[in-house]
Amino acid sequence: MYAPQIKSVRPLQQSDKPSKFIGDDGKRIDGRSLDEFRSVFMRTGMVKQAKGSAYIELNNTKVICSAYGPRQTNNEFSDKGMLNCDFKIASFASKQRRKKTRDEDKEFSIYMRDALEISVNLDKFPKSVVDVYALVLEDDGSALAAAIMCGSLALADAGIELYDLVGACSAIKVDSHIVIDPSSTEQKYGVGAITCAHMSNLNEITQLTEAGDVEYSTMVEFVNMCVDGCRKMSDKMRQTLATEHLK
Amino acid sequence: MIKISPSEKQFLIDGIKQNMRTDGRSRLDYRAFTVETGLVAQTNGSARVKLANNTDVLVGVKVEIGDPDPDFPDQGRLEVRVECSPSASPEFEGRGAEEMNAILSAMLRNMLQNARTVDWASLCISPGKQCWIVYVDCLVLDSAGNLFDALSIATKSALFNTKVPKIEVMETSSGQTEIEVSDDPSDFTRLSTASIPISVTLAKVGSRYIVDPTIEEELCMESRVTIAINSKGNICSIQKGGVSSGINPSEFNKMLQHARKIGLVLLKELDALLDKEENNDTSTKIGFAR
Amino acid sequence: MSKIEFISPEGLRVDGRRPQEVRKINYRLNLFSRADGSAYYEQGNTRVLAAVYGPRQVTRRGASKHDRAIINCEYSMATFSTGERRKSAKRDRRSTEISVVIRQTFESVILTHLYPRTQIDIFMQVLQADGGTRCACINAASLALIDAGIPMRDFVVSCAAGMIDGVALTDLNYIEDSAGGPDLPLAILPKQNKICLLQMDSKLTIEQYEEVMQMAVEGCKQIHAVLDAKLKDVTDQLVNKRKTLL
Repeated sequence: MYAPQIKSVRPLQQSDKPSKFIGDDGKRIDGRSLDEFRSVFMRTGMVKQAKGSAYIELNNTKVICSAYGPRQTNNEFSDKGMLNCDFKIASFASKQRRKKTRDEDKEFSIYMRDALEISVNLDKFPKSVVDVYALVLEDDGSALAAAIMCGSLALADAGIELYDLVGACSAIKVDSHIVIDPSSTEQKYGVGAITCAHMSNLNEITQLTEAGDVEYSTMVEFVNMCVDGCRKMSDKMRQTLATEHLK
Repeated sequence: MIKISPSEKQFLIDGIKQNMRTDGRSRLDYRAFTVETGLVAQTNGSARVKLANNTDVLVGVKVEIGDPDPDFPDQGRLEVRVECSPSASPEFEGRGAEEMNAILSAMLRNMLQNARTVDWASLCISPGKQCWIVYVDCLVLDSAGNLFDALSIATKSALFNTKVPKIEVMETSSGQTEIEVSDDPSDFTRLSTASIPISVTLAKVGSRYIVDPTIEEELCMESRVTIAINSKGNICSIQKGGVSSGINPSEFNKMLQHARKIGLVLLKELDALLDKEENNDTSTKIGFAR
Repeated sequence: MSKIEFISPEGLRVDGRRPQEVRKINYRLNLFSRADGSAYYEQGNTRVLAAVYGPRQVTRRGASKHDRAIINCEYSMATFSTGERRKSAKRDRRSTEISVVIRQTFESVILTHLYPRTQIDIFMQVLQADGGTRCACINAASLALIDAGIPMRDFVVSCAAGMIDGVALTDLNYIEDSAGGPDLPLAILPKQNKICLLQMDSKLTIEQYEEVMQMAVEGCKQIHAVLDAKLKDVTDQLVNKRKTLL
């Protein structure tokens, strides 16, 4: 059984902007290099009641996700199955208590569904629906990317037929450098927040959202870095699934 | 909800393969659009955009004084809200439009909210206490496909048309700030709208992609990419949607390039239209009763 | 404290109208491609849109009636339609109430028995509110239904009347409406001379009530004259277009 270790929580940063995001040694505030992920922890089968579930930690970003179904829909007949995603950020997830912002949750739910639905073999369960619920327990940047990966793991854990696992990765530009897997501080002051979901075996981008004014060349670099990041993450996801299910 | 038969779908897909779409366009042709500004009297700025006569959106901008975002105390605030009216489709009745509203408003919010599109700092009145809140309220009245681009064009036009009343900030003896809004309607400032982007939507159909999809083409598309371009040719936001296929990264780069080219042309066209609108005197406006 | 002078010594109202005068009316039919019928209607500064779908398959299971069509109405105000920005556009109490009132009005007018097991939708959207949105919506809906070719017993026209400082006034605008006097929205079937909607929730003497009522009826008749004249023009144009085609 998984027993979470009680860690001493890193003191939260001051609200004002740090003077430099990238130090002279080319390292970021938390000591990472530009294309380095935070320490990643993945686990499946956390929620015994659900058909499948997963938990992901990108250091302080923590997401738990469970998948249910396939179950019958009440909607009209469809020869394809449906995927229903629900993304929620807990009110205690960020520095300031989060007020109800249904709009953002709704938006991210749609992004998450778009990212995952392409990877699911929907022809296998006509007239039915699979539900994926993601809850962000703590948000220190890149929550959507974490939720997408968590959702993909939960679907795999539930035994839903998938074409591929979906890796996801966020990037942002701070101090004219592109950094991958941004923390919440970097996310707040950076430019051009991009989140990309990618299936590495099929080499297909399943979801991509970006906000912020960047040049075309930067955009291309963004996409390339994110795709590389997604590859790394999906390898990690594969390993996790292999070790957990061969235990 | 509009539905098409499998054979009609095949017809559309085959046409796209041969670079001939049902309305006579080639894959990368854009439909004509019209812009009219200053239609709604109770707003600070408004615009109605019609794309190919049948996609019809109305954007009203209201500016009000309120509290700034605690994360960015020295900037104005933006609130975007899109409402799909059931006149565009009966399925938008009641809560039926929620998902569509969410995607559309997210796209516009992402497009506008980054620091360089509007000078948000100029909308700050007293840091941490009061700022202008710019409410961008969009109404989708009729749809013939590609609501994304129509809304982005309308939003840029409405913000271009927006008049922010001049204000005077005074310190009272008790240290409180008091704001006096000018009564004179000719006493206003404009927003800096030159770098506001507009979006270009590309739809992937089969192995090809098309620009500015009609509503029927939207039903055959495998995925949609909406890319916002500003006058410098920079990319201001991207939103991918659609659920039946992914996009290869190299193909994605090609789409970006095309979107950029088309976006710059559209922006020029829009700027010319807006200049004309600005110099138009109000008596020639026809509005809805046309 | 200065009170607004609603009636000038010359007997004119705040916007220069005489007491029995309705505001300028303009409208247009068939402006949306997806709806079966649609209308844009303006009365002074009040501007509304209406779209009609149907008769079509009933969307809500179990709501279908075996002997007649059901009418479904939705009234909503755009967030930018009022002076202060409205928080939500849909589903507040007032909108629901107006939706119900308008539905009941049209249930009695549309020949629903001709379309059993179907549904007719009327969607109304207020773009600019300057008093009398309820009546404007009824007029717009009536025009949109005509545009959709749905059979009705008669044209429905609606107009409100009120009383300020003892003077009965027709077609109140926002300023007059917020004066707090009685407000009496009325919808009539002008040819049959029947009332299909009448609302009032304040205290009036019988004499005053009759005066206000008379004012509202006069307003309705004025509006009907304007709508009917233009509608005949529009129909003539359609007929001519058809002739040139044949």
